[in-house]
Amino acid sequence: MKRVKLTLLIPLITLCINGTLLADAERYYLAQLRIAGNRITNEEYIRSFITLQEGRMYDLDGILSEINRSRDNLEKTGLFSQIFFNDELDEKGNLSIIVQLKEKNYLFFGPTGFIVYEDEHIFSDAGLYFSYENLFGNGGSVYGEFPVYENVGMLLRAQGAQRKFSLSAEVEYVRSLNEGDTFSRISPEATYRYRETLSFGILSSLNIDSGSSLLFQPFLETGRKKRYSLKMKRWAYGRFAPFYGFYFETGSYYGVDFEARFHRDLLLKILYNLRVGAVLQGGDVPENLILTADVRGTYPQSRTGNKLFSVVNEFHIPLPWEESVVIVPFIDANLLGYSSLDFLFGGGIGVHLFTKYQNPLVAEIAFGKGVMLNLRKRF
Amino acid sequence: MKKKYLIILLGFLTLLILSLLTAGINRKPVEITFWHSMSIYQGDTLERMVQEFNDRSPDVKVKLIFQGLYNDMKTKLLTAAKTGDFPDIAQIAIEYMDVFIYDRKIDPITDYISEDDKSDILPQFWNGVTRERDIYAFPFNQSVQVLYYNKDAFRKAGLDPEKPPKTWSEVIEYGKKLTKDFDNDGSVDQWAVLISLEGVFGFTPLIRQVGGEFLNEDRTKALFNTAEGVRVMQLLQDMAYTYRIMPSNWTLFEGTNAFLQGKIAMGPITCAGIKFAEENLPWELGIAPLPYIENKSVLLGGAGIVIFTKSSARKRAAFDFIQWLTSKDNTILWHEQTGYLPIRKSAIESFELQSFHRTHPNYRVPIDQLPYSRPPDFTPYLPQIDQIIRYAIENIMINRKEPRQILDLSADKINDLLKKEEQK
Repeated sequence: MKRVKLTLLIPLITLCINGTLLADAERYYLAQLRIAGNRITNEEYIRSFITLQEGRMYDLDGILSEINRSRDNLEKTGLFSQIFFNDELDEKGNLSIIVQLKEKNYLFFGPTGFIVYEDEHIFSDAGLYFSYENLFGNGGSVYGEFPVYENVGMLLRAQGAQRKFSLSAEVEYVRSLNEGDTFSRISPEATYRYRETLSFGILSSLNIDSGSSLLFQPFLETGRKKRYSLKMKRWAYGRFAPFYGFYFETGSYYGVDFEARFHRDLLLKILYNLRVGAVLQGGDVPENLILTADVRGTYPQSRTGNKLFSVVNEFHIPLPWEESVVIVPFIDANLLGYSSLDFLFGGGIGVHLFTKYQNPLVAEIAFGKGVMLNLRKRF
Repeated sequence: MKKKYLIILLGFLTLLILSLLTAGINRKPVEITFWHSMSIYQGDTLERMVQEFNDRSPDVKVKLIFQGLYNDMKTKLLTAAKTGDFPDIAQIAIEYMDVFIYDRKIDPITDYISEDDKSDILPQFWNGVTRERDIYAFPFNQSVQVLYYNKDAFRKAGLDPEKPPKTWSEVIEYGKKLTKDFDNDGSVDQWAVLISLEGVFGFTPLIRQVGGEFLNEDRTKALFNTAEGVRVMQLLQDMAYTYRIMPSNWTLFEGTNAFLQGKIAMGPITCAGIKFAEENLPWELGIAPLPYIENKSVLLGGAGIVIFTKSSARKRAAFDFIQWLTSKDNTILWHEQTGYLPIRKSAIESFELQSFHRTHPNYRVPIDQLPYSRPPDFTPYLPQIDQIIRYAIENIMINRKEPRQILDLSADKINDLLKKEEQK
């Protein structure tokens, strides 16, 4: 009998304790959620990242968890330099949360290209670029590059808002001033984000030079390309993309494109970046898709092939007294060719300067088959 | 008649235009000079905050000038005292304030402080800037020491990285596992611990942890040359020579570098370095409360903002800026972006900070130590006393002198110094 009573008593006491705890737990009615500080970014777009819901009751644990989830989502957009959740509680116990944001600068521009002295010749590719990283206030981006020397034309890339399903497109038109021939391309791309670090999609590309060809390239992406928080000490990114293309007049071509990137924070914000790539092609490859050398210090067009294995190693060392100046020693290597592969090797040192409008301004001196001044960033 | 009215009207209009113009001229903002001691990322954060204030405030502009670390600042202010060329406001370490209070170079600001500020800012922080019931500075960047430890080193030594040592006895126990000679060449490659033996500031919390005091309440006599003081020094000697878990002759600079490189597994360091350490270390950083011997006690350090200007208009402008700088929102930002303690209750209780502490638990540890934090024993002679104690510790730790003898000699010197003050 005693045992039966005790058996009944224990759940009863447990219930009472839980009931008391529940009654004691602070609960908040979220009456209002306001967004402040956004001059460019759409409020609706910002709200899509915030998991707190107006008109809901929260306990302290719930509200803090949702704030952190929302903060994390907003951080990952890369659009804000400061995210601050302010709270106001009125006399009736109604809670207002004000998401106070500071937007980053979204417009960047600068020079791009290279000058290389190799085999007693000077080759160059010089141009200007701009990028805007919060297009229409919804996290889209646009990138433009304009060659101004030897070639003229434009490369425009537009990326839609960062959502589950996103679209992007690239348009390129280049005219060689020396030879007078032209090349144009239009490449729409659709991406579906299956999970936070797993996406897949398809890219198609219509290329027009001496003939016209159409390419289809499904792809799978995993990991993170960019660091969104200094708490990330190691991160990686991978992309696997087989492709198939055909000429309207003649044959077809095919191949596979693979890229992996590894980033590691070593000490005092010194970053080690490694990029490993492989491209294998077969069939009647269009002229503009023929693989060229990808080693700083060597003129890209001096070597071609249909198989390319590449490695890029960079250390990013910010100056301790001026973090906006980063010293970048690097080593690149390629195996490139058709049936037999050439080994190409290059290395050098660069200065990356981060300013309000340059992210960053790059100047690198590289030694490979020649000597190169490079103005293009690799990571 | 009409002409007369026209002249009056014209005269009135001229007066109106003149008064508007004068009002325009009078709206020229007041420029406040602010000498500060915040370097690297803390300086960057302060610069950004001041820039924001200047952008927002049409009437007051702040000119920020870096004057070196606390000691340099003290020297520069002492030089300024001779020429009368003080800045409007300056950031002074709480232990150096007495030098200027004693010489009547700064006035109390007690009357300027609102009741809201008095109740919202925690009493520990007011203690640091109050002398005999008068407040001489506004608390700003305040810090306590916490135990920094390398979680990776703990894992490699088979220790649970989520259970850091709570007492100095546990530090010794952990230390035996953490001190490593990886290449077996007879020299230690990884030390377990380094205690910064930086004079008064290293010694005071430890002597308080065994129930002792550094100076008496009237600041007329040294109290550290007692059994308690000897016990503390003996503990340090034991860690270096008996248990061999701590290098005996490393400076704070050497120790910090070794810690960054993973050559020291743990050590007490100011909480003001948490942000830097979390962002710059390649291994996982753990922060734990400062270990204790018998009682929990930590030293409250840092600086307050002192107003030097005597002009009431500039004083008011300076105070407007200081209140903005130490507002609830800026207190939160300052804490999140530096690691310094949040000085306001409203900031600590805010959802922003509570949620931040969930993802950054290291920042919460120094706040939990506040109930048993105390500032050092203030006296205008603290800089000289600090030098005497540094010399004493050097003799005990490097030359392995008898602690009792050295502490007695140091106490005599300090008592002489304090006696001179009493006789004045």
